[in-house]
Amino acid sequence: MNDTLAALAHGLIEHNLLLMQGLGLYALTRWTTSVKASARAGAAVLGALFTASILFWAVEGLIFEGYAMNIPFLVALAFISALFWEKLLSRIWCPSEDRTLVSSLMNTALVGGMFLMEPWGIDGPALAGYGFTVGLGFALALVVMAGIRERLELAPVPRPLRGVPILLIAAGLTAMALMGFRF
Amino acid sequence: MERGLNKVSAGKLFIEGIFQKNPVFRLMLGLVPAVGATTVAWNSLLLGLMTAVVLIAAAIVVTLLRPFVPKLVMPIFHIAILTVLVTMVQRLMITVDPHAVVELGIYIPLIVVNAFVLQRLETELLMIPAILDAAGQGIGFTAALVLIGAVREFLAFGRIFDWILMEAEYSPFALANTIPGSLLIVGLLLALVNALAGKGGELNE
Repeated sequence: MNDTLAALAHGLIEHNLLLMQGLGLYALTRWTTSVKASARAGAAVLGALFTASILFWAVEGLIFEGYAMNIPFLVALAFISALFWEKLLSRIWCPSEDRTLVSSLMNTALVGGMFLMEPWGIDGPALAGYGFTVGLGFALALVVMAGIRERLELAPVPRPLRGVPILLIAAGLTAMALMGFRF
Repeated sequence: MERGLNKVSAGKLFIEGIFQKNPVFRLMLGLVPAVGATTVAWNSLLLGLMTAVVLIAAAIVVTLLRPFVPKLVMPIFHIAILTVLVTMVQRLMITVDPHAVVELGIYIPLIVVNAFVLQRLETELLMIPAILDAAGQGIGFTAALVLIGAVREFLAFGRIFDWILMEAEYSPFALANTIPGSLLIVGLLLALVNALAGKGGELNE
């Protein structure tokens, strides 16, 4: 139980892909226009990361030791997972405004999350757990930032700061709050 | 006449890629390396140049092979070309400067899914305009990364490109060396560019 809680804490807070690793900023700037859109985007990335990490666990033994040779394998695994979820979600979420979402699943959060497994020394069954927890952390962070963005839309923000600049500043301040947690 | 017009518009694409359509400061793309890989100015310069080289090479290959690739598989084709090129560039960097490869870490493979690189490959241009557009965007991206890296390195360590600028009484601002601090700095720099350009409040697609 303690290991599960520790893994959850690492994935959600200490190793949060969006706020602590700075990955998936395209999703932060484009998919947080509403809480609903961000929840869908977060769920899509969570599914893609979980599937990709399971695939990684399955083919782990086939990947060459040399670091540079990992790029084609991991990108291929991420792409297979992204394609699967794109096809699945395009059947569920038909509206045309979600087309950019499903065609952009191959993003830095997914691929970056895969490449971070090696430096963090995660292997074996822990890969699936890692994929789920960091995906969940990314989804939750995206929803939180969407809520903050909706409030910023109503605030008297100076013109040069409106849009992406104030969103990045808000993300930085939220990330600073997460830095206070140590597990 | 047509060749002359092509030269003018191609040159304009090159200049626009550096200034009016700067990937980081105007188009708000490529923010992940801008936030994460700019801890020191030297790493920013290296990553920017690697991205520019990959983008130019990919633009040449995609322009040459576009007539033979069905539109349906074009996204897969782009990812495949970028994967091959990034793997080659990383192999080359390991022989030239392995320390830089370790420091840049996952940001080299992330060139494959860099939003501004993928967006550039989707534009359908002739060969010369495509190369100049890619070169302009690559130089603009590198310049943006170096600026962010210089600011972060100065605030965190009191130096730029290892030239020590402030030492004795200077207390480093350690937060500039972290992702949260980088988000703040990049956000403020974006706002500064918006203020100088007289713009703000929209995503410049």
